[in-house]
Amino acid sequence: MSHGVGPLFLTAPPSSLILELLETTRQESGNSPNPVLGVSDDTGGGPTIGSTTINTPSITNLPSVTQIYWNPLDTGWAENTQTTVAVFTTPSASVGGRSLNPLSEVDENEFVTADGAEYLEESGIREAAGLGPNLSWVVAPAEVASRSVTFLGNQTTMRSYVGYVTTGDSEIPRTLLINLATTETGDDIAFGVTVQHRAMYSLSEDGASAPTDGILSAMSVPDLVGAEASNGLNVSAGDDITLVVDAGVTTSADLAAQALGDLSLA
Amino acid sequence: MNSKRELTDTTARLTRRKLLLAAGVAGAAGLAGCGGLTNQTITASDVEMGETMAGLGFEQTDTKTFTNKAEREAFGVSGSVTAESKLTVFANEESTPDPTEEERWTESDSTLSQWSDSTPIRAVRGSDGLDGDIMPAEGDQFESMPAASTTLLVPDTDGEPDRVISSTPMADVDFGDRVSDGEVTFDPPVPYAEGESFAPAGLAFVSEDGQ
Repeated sequence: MSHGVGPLFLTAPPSSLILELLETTRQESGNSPNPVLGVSDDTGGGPTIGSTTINTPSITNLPSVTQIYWNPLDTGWAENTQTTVAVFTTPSASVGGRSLNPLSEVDENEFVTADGAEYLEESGIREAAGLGPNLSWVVAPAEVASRSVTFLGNQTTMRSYVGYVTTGDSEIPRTLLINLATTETGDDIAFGVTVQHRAMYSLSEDGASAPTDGILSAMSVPDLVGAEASNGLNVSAGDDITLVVDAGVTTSADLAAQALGDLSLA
Repeated sequence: MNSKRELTDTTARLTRRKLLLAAGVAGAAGLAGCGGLTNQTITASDVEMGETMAGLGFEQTDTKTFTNKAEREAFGVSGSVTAESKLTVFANEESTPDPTEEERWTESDSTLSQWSDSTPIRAVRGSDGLDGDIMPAEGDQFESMPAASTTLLVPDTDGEPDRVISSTPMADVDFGDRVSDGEVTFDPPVPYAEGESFAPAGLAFVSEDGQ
């Protein structure tokens, strides 16, 4: 599995430790303080390693830091994340050629992006896809791609949406990729939905605290889309970073198109 | 009944009410408008997959039927419409778990120079080329270092000044003298791969205040 993106450094607060590379000669025992390291006499004794003694200052207000690994939506993400294909069919209830089913008035965008993801919830797709309860968007979903597909024998448009959600199962947001096509067939209206989701990031150690919403609230899906995942950047809240790679969306859409094209009415 | 108005009203309700209930009510209202109100059940079609999906590893995992009944009276005649919607679910194999930190570390294509200016240092192994493009070695191990005690391995370099990493503000810094067989004089000695260092991919440091 490709782990995609390289290091992403989110800018630490001013009080955090900043490491610098310096050139110096080793400070032998008794050469204290170490002038290069800027350690003063009143900083207290430090460990003795071999012939080297390093004085250390007391550390106050050391920032509590959580290390996270982004899981960018790239090709590896798309290939290694389970895909759920859900087909919701509902009677069109048409009379005299006029569809009276309000579902016919719900476009794909509303089906995915409605507040609280109510359509995903009420159609059973949320549960079927293994998403936990109490789903809510933390980064609003947006359409990131579209293409023509065959769904239940009809040519129609499939749209790809990406958003970030939290559920009742975890405090870590999940990247949610949905491909959605609708069509009318016979007396039914059909929604073909493929769902993939994976934790937006993982923490470097058990029990580590997830970052607060400060960073996520500054994110916007369109700003996260790019050709390559961000790599080796210093990132602050509000910066544009690439966590949604075009090729990853394409890979997912390729699979979705094959699946929807293979479905038929029983 | 003005069926166009009925459609508009129903659509508006959809944004506020449950999806399936709205579908059932709309069907009942429409049929009532035609004066042919009876007790009817309208069932959506089932869906099945073919060989292509099977070849992609999909299996049908679930089917559900949602039943909603709407009753209505029109012109003194009452009746109902029951709408049965279907959800058919297919899934392929489960997601590959996220890699562990160590797996990310050993598979990283990032150089230490990309990583070493962040804190806390969780592990540092390496040669004197801390700012060079040195790649990870398969099978290397790493050790976590506590944030309050930034510990760096600083190998000796024959005839050259040692390369030292300092921190601001100052944290605990340990110097390690390189000894034979790829060890330095940490206590206990820490093995490292000669000429190699590595950094984890996808690593980010985030303060708890969200910055």
